[in-house]
Amino acid sequence: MAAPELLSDEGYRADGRRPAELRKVRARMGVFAQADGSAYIEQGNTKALAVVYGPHEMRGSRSKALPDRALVNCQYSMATFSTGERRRRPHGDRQAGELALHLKQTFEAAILTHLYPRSQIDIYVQILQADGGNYCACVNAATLAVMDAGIPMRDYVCACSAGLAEDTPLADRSPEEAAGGPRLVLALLPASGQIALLQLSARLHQERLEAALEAAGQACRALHAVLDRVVRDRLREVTALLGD
Amino acid sequence: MAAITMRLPVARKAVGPSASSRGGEKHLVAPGDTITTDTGYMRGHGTYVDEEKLIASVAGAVERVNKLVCVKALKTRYNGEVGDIVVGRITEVQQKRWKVETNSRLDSVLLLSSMNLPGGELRRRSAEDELAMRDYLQEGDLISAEVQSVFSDGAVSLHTRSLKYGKLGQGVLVQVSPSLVKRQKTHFHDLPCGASVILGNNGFIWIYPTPEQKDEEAGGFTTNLEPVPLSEREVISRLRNCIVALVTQKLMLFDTSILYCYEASLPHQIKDILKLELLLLIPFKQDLTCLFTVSSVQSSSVSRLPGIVHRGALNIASLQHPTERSAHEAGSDFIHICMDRNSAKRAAHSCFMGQQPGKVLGDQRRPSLPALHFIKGAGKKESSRHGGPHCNVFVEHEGPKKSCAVFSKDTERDPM
Repeated sequence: MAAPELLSDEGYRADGRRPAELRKVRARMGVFAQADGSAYIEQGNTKALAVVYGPHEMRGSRSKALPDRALVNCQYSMATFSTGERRRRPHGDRQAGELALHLKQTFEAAILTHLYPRSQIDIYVQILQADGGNYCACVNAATLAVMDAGIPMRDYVCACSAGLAEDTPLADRSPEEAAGGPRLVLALLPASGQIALLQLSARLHQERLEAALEAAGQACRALHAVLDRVVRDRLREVTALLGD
Repeated sequence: MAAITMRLPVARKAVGPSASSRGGEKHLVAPGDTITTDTGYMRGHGTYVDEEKLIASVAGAVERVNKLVCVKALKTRYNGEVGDIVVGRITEVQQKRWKVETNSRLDSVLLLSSMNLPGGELRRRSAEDELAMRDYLQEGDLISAEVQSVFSDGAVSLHTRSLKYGKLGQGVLVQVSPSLVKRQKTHFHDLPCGASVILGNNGFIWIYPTPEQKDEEAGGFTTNLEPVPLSEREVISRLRNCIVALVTQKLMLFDTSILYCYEASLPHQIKDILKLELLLLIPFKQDLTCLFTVSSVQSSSVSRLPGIVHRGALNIASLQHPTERSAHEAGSDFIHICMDRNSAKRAAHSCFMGQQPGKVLGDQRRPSLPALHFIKGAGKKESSRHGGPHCNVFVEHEGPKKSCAVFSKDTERDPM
């Protein structure tokens, strides 16, 4: 089923990575002054920007306010120039709505919403350049942005995708590997190992699920290490500036 | 056509190991990190307990008070405390109350009964008062108020039962992080430069022309709509830019720091304050922890100093000094003191705190240099507010060796 050229004889993938290797990740926290929290991430050629406002008073319909916890409101959009062909509608299509819903579920699991009753937390993410793994980049950027806003979370949320080449699981699947069968997306709380979201886009044999899940989990933990370094660098930088 | 200035991207400096000046390494944590597995501790803000482990929920520094463990996030929204001075914006007029946006997690409330009626009348609020609420304050108005109480969900109740508080008229609002506003006895300052500021504990800063006389009759709910003269508007804009410059360097805001920055910015055009700061100081951002302002004039005089390659300028005005020996009298217009960054910071800190500076200077690595006292400029130019002469301190950066040059210069300009 899977195309044989996904993995070369030497065990390398089309873009030169080894099966468990991630694409290069670069991230930065606190890119905007106006927002409560913001972050930018690059995973390979996928670039995402996340902005967090809140917790603040309910805007719009006040009836949506939850008496015991905060409402997490997510919006996902793709810049018109983010794909090879210019997009007509930057947001509001069905796919965007679905992704926003997934983001909301992911972050409701991670944010300690019960600390902010009757308020609202807005998470806006935008894809500036789409090159596979949009959801993952959004989750990772939003994690950093929420942290930048000082909103309490159980843990980081790290998301990564995995595919399969024959029996070898491939971490952080690139769009060229789209032919390579089913795609698994995992959002993980790495310290506790809890799964915030798991998405499987095609049929997969039960026996292979374990391996794919394990590969995605490994990738999430590797990503956690990268994001953690970004956060700590930022912490050090700001505490040094603030002094005592 | 308007001239456009562009800034070339500058490589970010790598952050070295945590350089906390006192008390050694700070315990920095990120969400999910286990702080302690000891069950004898109490759970404070920014932490939660899972399987008998105390785990951080925000990224920040751990603070321990006896058995209580908290994690203080770098920035959060405003958490109200009784007695705080806040500046806020009316978002809604409801029955018997206004809703006020104060950068808090929920909108604050200002009850009709917790404000002064015009004319200072004391009586129960009637239905007519309720109908006239929008005449006092309507949506979009800015007010200054004091926190009366904090509800269990974190919402804040305000009061304006003093002539100090009430509606704000003409001025400029700057929004900063609440953690950068220093808690002080008073947050209303009439600065000697000709404008006043309200430093709201919630990070809203209001800069306005100093009123000639307080209007007793109005009860704080009428505003003066006379045109503000250009000179005052310039002072206000300069103060605004100074505050923004201080905030970008993560420096605490209080009357003295703002005033020092203002005085140091005087040789420059208002619009250049931020530009210069961006152009010159971004490379020094990590190293410059004291109060600073850039000054091309000062930089040019410093360039006469041999061996100094790059510099960001610090201006610490009005240093009080125990000895009367000044650099100027000694025949030079600068003193070069090598010291590490932390002692520079401490010196600046102590001079802000009103302590005697000058004890921390000297260089351990170069004992041949005399441990000079903090210097002061010549002359007895009294700043109207902080008696004492001026001097400028420059931080010098030479690769890995961090040293600091202190540069004294008699400020010829009138302090005010």
